[in-house]
Amino acid sequence: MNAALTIARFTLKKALRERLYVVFFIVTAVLIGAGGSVSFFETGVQVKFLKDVSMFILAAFGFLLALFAASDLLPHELETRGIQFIVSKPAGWREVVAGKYLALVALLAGNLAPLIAEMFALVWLYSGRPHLDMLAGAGLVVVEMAVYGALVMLLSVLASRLVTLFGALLVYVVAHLSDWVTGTFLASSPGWLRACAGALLALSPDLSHFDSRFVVVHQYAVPADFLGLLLVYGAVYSVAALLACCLVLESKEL
Amino acid sequence: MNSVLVLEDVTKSYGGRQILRGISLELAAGQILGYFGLNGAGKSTTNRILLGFARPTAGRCRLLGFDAGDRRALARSGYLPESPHYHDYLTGWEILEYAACLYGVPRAERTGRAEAAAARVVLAPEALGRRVGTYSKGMRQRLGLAQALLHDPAFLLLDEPFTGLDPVGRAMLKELLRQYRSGGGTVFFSSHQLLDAQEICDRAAILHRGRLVADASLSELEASHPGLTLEQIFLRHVGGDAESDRD
Repeated sequence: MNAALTIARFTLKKALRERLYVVFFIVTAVLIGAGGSVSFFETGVQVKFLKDVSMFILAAFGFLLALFAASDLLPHELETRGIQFIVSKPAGWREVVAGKYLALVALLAGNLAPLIAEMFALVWLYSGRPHLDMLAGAGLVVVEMAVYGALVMLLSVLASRLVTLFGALLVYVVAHLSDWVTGTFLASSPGWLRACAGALLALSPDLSHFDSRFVVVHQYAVPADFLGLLLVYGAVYSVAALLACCLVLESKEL
Repeated sequence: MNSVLVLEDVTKSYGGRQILRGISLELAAGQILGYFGLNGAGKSTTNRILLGFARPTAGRCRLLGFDAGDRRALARSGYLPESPHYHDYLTGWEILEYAACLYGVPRAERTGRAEAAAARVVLAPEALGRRVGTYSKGMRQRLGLAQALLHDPAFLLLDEPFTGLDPVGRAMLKELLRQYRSGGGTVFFSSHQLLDAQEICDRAAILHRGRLVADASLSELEASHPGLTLEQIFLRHVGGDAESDRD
């Protein structure tokens, strides 16, 4: 476990110094701020508009961050052989995968938390009261992206960078539209397409349950038991994806 | 013989192509073994097997009494890859701290160990404060040596350690390895720099087309090839096959 924490610490340190992520973060923060500066509507509508836009920007930023960071963490080390620095020491693939994943989760949380705080502050400013109920919904974006990141990490050790990005994008879309895919799209599709989509759906996490934009905008509280179930589901799915990732790496030769 | 490293009839094939063909050798504690061969002869494959990065198709490899790749063996070994690659955004100090943490060096000792290792390879503290992305090839090589040495390993595996080092750096490395050996350390290194290697190695093993064509102490090799340098002895063993080994 110490090795995993060490790997996570130095991976995160490196990632936080990459200008691309910093620029990305600043642009997103400015966009959320810009959403708050638009005041065409009366207060109630304005707050809903602000929440809606901010949640969309938050989800988009989280998705791009998870996609690009997770797809790069292991392949970059493997391609440059930088991984030899780690595995020539008493640290196995399980520590490597766990460490990289912990760094990814910390990167997501570290980037999304200030943005959620910004969103929260803007909503407070406009409505004149704190909307504590939105925090759980906004926090679900972090959990969703952590689950998605685990899947992207698995894909990244199975396929080339381009295929990983394309596949991960496809999974993201399908995983958010699982009801529509099974209910409408596949009903009139040929058998082979149904089989392929069925397999993809079976392997993908059901991200549609994490979509909390509606809940946040309309000030519904996320039930605690539902939140708990989502956290358990996310944890189980992530662990399974990471274990599969370890198996793939253990079968590889450097 | 108190063997630190034992290779028993090690064979390695990739897609039907045999890279190593029945390599057997033993290395005693406190010795420096130079492992030489043309490009593609199988030196890097041997190194990868020693560290557990690759599995032998047949045969057995043991390091410090454990199977190759065993964590207990890796904990007591230091490795310098041929082209060390580090996170460019981290500083030299951070790389050494990273290595110290992975080797399980206690927190209280990390700074002292890193400073001592940096001093051994003559890396200035100012340079260690800079990001690795700004380092020259020679500085990366010195940093690679420092991170391999900082936990006082019993065994060093060096892949082309002279690469990128200027004459002063090469002299430093040779002196460092002599001191390391006198302290009981064991070294296995591969190199194309035979003139430098001749000055430090106790034994030389020559690999050609995946087979060991020579494995003897330097004095034995010199006695059996009077008047020849190690480079000349090497050329005798591999003949004019340089190109054929590269395909």
